[in-house]
Amino acid sequence: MAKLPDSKTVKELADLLNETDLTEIEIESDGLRVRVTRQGAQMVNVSSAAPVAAAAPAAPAPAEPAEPSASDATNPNALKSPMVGTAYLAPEPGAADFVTVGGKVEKGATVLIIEAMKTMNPITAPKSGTVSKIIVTNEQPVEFDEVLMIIE
Amino acid sequence: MVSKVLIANRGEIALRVIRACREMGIASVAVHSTADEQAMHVRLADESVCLGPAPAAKSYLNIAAIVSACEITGADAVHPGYGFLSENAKFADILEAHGITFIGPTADHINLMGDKIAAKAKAIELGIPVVPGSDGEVKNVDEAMAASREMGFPVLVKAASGGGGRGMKIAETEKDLAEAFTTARSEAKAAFGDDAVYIEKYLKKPRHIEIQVACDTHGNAVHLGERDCSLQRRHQKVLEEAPSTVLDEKARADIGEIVTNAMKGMSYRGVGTVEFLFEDGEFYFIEVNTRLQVEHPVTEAITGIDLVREQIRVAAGEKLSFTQDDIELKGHAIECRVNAENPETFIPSPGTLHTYHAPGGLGVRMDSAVFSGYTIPPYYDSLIGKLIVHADDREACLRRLSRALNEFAIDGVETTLPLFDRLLENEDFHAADYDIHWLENFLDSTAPKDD
Repeated sequence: MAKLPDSKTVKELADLLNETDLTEIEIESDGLRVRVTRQGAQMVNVSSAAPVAAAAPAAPAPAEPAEPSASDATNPNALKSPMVGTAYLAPEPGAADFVTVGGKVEKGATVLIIEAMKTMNPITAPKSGTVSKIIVTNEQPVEFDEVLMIIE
Repeated sequence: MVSKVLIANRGEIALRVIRACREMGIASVAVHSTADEQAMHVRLADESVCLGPAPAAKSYLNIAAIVSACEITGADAVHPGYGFLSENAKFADILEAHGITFIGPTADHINLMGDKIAAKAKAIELGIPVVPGSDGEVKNVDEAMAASREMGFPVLVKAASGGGGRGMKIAETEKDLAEAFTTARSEAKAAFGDDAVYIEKYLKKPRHIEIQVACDTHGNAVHLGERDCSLQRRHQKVLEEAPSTVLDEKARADIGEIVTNAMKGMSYRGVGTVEFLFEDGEFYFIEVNTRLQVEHPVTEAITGIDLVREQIRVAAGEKLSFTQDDIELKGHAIECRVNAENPETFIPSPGTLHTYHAPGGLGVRMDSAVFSGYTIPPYYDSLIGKLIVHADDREACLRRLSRALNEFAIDGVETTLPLFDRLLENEDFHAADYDIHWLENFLDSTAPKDD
């Protein structure tokens, strides 16, 4: 299954581009190529170096967003937003959500995307576990440190 | 069109802008770091967005996060306040590229005035009197010596990318020049990433007098008189007054005309301040600040003009709401910068304000974002707020200032309030008989002696 680059790598590349006079940075590893280009706004292009069949994810009914509670912010299993942007729960409109309540995730797997200035930033699970609560809704604007979901 | 302003700043200036927006019926968005979650500017704005953790680089200087915050809130304009990104041309460019109005001048003008050599050359071109100096950058000690001999010692070696009092070294005589030159260059490289330096004649006892201007996009430029900001410590202004006691109507009108013609000649947009050293009746250009200044309230007091409102109007494409003929300077105003610092050592004193009660009454304005119970974070500047008093003349203003200081109650942190009491008791200050070195000399001579 094609793996999206993790958000930390993408952010590091974008920061590097900002700090230097480079117009473009491209890296390739494990059959995955990432190119970050300066074009007024930065565009992140991700492509697979080799064609891969995407496994069809299990598609249960999309979960109802949970009401955020005061304890969520202090929950050690809370996944908090590392940036300002708009949250998307699925890889693209019409596709199934990355994760559902009750679903299991592997460490490093993408659980949602945050879009900022036209760049899509995959947000990954910090550890393997089960998604017990999804607080953010699709297309919801999020700020830094906002609780997105709980993974136990 | 400006319908929702995101204020890319914090503290008292963020509150200042929010107030202007609210009075104009414009929605406001506050941005903040995690350390400022309870800050007043966050509470009083219509919306808020948390940008990142406490360090400024990750929050208030985080351009990507600020632009994202504009996107998710639908803000169509950004006011940068002062400091932070207010004179960052790249920020202005990025905002314009995203179709967001930057409330300030163009990126080109920010760049021009940020390069002190280019700014000075432009000033000369526009007919503004300048400090005698080298013709642009001096690349080596020989060039430095030649330029210095021509203008006469003592001289100042200044960093082209400096400004705001930073990156300057004095050479009193020929013997000192080589060292001043090389140190200035290496310090400039370390601090600003650019070792280009130029030389200026060092003025012995000048005052710092700056002229406030406002320009719109319809070709109008108006000056709003001067501010005397001579009382400085380590190049940081401590107390400012308007008008200056050393300028008469004619001197004011003359320099005002020179400055407005220059700004018009540049097609400058928004508010700006042209800073001068003033000695023996002559003005000498130092730099242009392409933003709202900390001390703008003293000008607002004596002119009755709301400068932030004008900034927003100009950014929205409107004309200035006044002409030069409309501007009349009434009375005298003084601003004291109240910092959370020890009043003698100036060591920062962050902490929680157990007691905070600001003075009030006729002619007293306190621009501050603190409140009783507020904890001043250690990550940003130490400004608690600005105390501005306005009265019919300078004598009455000094009495009002004394009265206001007497009412001020702060407990929990050390503050520089006692310094202002001491200034009021001083004869030179009473007579406004000071220059840009005066305050440091005063502090040195009245410093508590070590036993």
